Amino acid sequence: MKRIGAELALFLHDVRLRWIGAVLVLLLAVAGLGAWRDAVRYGAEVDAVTAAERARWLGQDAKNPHSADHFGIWVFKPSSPLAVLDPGSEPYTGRMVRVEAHVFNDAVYRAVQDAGPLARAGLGSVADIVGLVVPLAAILLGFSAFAADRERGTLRLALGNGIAPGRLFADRFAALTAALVLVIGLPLLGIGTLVALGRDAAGWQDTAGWQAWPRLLAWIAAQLAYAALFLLVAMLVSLRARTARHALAAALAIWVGLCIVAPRLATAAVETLVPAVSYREVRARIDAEMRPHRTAEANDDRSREILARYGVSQPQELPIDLRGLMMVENDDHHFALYDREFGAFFDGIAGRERVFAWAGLLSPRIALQALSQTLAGTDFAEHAHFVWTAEAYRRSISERMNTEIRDRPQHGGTTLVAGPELWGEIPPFAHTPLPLTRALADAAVPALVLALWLAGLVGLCVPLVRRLKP
Amino acid sequence: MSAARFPRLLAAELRLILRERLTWAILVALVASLCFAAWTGADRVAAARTALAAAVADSERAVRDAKAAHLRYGRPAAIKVNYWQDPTDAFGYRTYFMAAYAVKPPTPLAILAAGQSDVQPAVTKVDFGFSTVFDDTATEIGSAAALRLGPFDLAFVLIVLVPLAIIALAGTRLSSEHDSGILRMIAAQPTGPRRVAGAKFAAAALVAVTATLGGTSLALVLSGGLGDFAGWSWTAALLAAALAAYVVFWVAACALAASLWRGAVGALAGLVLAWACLTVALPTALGLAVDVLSPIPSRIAAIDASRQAQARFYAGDEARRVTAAWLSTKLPEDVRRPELADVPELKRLARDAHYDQALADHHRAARAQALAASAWSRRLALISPATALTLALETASGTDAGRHAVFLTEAVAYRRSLRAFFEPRILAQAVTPAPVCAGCPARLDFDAYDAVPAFAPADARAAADRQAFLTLACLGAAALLLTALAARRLKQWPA
Amino acid sequence: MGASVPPADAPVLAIGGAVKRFGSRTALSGLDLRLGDGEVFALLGPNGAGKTTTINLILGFLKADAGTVRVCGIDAGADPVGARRHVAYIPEQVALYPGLSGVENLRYFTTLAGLDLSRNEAHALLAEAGLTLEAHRRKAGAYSKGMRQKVGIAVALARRARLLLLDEPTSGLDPSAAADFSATIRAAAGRGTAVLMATHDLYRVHEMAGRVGVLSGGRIVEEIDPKTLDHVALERLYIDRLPESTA
Repeated sequence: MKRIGAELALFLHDVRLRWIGAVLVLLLAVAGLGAWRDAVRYGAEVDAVTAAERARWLGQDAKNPHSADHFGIWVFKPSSPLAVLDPGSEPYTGRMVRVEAHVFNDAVYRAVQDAGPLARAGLGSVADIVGLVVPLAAILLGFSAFAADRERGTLRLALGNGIAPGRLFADRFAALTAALVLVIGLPLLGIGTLVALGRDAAGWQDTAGWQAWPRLLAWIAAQLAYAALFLLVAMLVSLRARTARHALAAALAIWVGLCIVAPRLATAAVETLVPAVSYREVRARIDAEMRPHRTAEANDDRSREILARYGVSQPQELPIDLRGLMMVENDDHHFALYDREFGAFFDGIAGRERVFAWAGLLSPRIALQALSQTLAGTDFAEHAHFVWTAEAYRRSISERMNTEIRDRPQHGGTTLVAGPELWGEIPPFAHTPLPLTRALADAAVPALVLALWLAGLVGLCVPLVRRLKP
Repeated sequence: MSAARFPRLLAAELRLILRERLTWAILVALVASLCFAAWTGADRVAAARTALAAAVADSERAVRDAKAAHLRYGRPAAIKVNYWQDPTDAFGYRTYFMAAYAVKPPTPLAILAAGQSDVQPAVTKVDFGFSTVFDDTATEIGSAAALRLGPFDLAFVLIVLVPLAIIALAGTRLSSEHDSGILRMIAAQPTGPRRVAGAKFAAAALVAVTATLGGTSLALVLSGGLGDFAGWSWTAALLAAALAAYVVFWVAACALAASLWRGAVGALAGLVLAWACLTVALPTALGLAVDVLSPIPSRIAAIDASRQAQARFYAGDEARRVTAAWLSTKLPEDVRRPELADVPELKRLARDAHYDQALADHHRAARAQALAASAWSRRLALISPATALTLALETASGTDAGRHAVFLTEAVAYRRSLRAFFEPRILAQAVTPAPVCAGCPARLDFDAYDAVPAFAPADARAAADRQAFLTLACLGAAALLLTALAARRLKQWPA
Repeated sequence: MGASVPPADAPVLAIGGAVKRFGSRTALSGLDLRLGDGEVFALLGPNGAGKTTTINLILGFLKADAGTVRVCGIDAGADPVGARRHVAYIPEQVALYPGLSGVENLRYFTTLAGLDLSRNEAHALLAEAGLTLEAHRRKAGAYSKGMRQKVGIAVALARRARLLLLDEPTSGLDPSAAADFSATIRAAAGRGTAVLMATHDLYRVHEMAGRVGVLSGGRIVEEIDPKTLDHVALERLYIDRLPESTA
């Protein structure tokens, strides 16, 4: 412990650590606080418009329930508190849905659409900085661990004087890891605490269900494991390299390979190996299947079938409202179609995301991305969960409105008119995030992949340290 | 003994650089990356063409179906065809059957950069429904993981990987000689540092420019993803020149790093950090600057406004009043009748006009913001060589944000032209509902399907040429500046 | 390039009252040294005496704060490239491109000097410098220090320089390589090349040099004719001339 302390004291005096630390803290603070400000603003806007929408829904004039169904309501995706640290797939997915009769509307207004074209450059969020810059920082801290000593001849001196190489390696690794915890872990914990506490205090948007604290701690642990992984890479290279120059060049090449090239290669590979149907095609298929269902002839056939089912010849003889029943059955048809087509489509994307977690074997950055967004509650599964929750809410409104019409048959050409009591029967939209246990289960694969990387590197260390040459 | 002639020195340096195994490893990796990127680009362009073809096919299908409905409903029958089921009526066709698309066709150079194409689809269906408030809701939901990591396109290889290849190729030239002591041998010869450095870095630049331009051309030819080039060769030439300038810029950066005489570690670390700053950090900072300079108007405020308008319209007798007011602007007084305000089709047209008016400010602000953001991006992008070249490649590919902003404006104009086409027909039918066929189930009052205006995409070439030229000028100036700085510092050998 | 034509009667090297300071430290404090064709001059001195500074001044890497440094009449401070045209320099560690063979290294360095050697000429020069034929085509990365030095000599031979600068030429060489080296240098001197060597190796000094200067405190404190002393006496005299702190 004393030796680790001594090594750490040595690093703390190193101007390199101070520069790296300062740059990292600055970057993380700018990205984190910027995201925090945006999240606060968005949350407040969503709260206000959600209340206004609810008031508009309840305040509708007396009208036919189907008109109310068409009037609909907008629902908004509550953002995970940790989205400030890792927005994950949130910027790439819609955040608001118009819930209305008949239509499975897309969630619209993706943040990436509104952001300028330069905003996708790569360092937009805290998670991006960890994914890209932290490995660089770890490399700049670790590349000279042995190579510089070897170049100076001090490694010869140390080993010649009986210092065990394993000990030396472990001490330096521990000291550098401690330094990394200092310059990465603490800022992340700071921003995370601000987010978790600030959100509770501000009271906007329900934080219940997110379990922000356990998520935050697991998330920070994942980021530190990732940083330590690149520290190991740099030190391993340093063990072998003849000079510090070689060590730096090799470690930078590995960084470029793992953090810059491999992720994009993985994108291309996954898209080739796991072909997915495009959303456009799914929409087109749904349209094509609905078209014959919507014709006047099909409509007539269906109404005749209902009359036959009830054994009557005129709609007025029915115990229910024909139009209402037809709407119920029509919607059931649509629901089944949506379930089948969108269900398969969303499953396909979820499958792709799972493949991406395994693609982490190509690069730890991919594994970290998958792990980090799952822990932060900003992964695609969370988005799909929102989309289907919104759709379930839409269906609950349509079903209630349709059954109201169906069960109150109107005769003599009058139209059913409902009022505030019926609108009030519809509860406000409530979205509970996926449970933490589900997130942890989803995180298993990327966590395993990241652990494999760490284990592989530690496994490489053992023989290299044993055969350490001065 | 005369001073070494520069061409001979250059030839010697070329031999030296080409003798290194590392050089060939880098070149092979670079060309392989370019080929792979071109292949993914060709795939992307093919998918874009498929989407376009599907849109065209869908439009034709809608017309075919409507014409078939004319035949089907053109004789007396017992069925009831509601207005939302009737493609033989102007309102029914426009609102529920027509498949009109605004499209952004790929340019002949579309293979170069995916740009914003993965988040801003090139095909948008013109919709007369009212569930989305804005026009830019077309979305192609895909893997968010892939979107986050970014595509492996030619722009990525050229802008991000080429500088890294150059740094690997030329980043330690002179400084590794300094470290190993060879520099002392070189310096002892009767020649100055500028000549030697000039030859060394000119050789590296020659190799890098040849590999980059040659590799890109080879990749484009092999992938077969280039479109019909007619009229675009000048753009391609400008881009090639800009690319060469970008390569020279990075070689000059290597020379500048060497001229600091901080050794190879220092040069490498400095160059990689400079690369990270110019390709990642600076673009991010510029993105933040664009956000500050053209703040994004709130989508939620617009949604709120649209819902207020909607709630207002359906409150009490407002719908009737709005429709009557709308009709008074559309119809001469002598044909106006009070009951027209209850015709569902006219109510719908009046309602859409009412919403449009309520949201006009929001739409204007959103469009102005999109145009301002793209204009600011265009200007600020020139600050970093990486963003400058990115924008030039994206503009040539037609996948830039600027073209999309223009496209959205055109789509709005197209929707307006469709409305102008249909509105008089719908009004005329409502004012004098003349049955075309007694006893027929459908209205049969509209058959001008082939006269419906088609969307005409704007030409993207002028913008591409302008951007490529600006980029070339900026990159050329930046390369010259770095070269001059390096030459200034290389007056004397280090002692 | 007219400035590089040497005056016919100028000595090969003429240093007069050269002063060089680095901040508050004075490296040379009025160094005088003249060298004619075919002369071999050994500059003896402890580390920090100013040997390397002297070499850097001659090569024009540094400019003297006062005094003159002329090579074949050319001011090395004002026209370093011109001066270097007459100088061949062999540093203590001759560093070569490890990926190139001896022949290729030789051709590369002579190209820098404006020469265009054919392969045959390069082979002949390497052979003349004493590099065995089988080594000519081997990568220089596998060369010993002596072999690398021979390539350095071949560069000097190719350039037919009038002044040969040697920095610690025999340190780290085994005795037979050092003897080879001495013979090669003597042969060069025999052809009229002036040689200035900075060294600690009193044995080789005694064997090779015609004149020996003891450098201390930035100037030559004593010039000796080594032929008048045996090398034990030379060593005694050298130690006596060193400042207390370094002796």
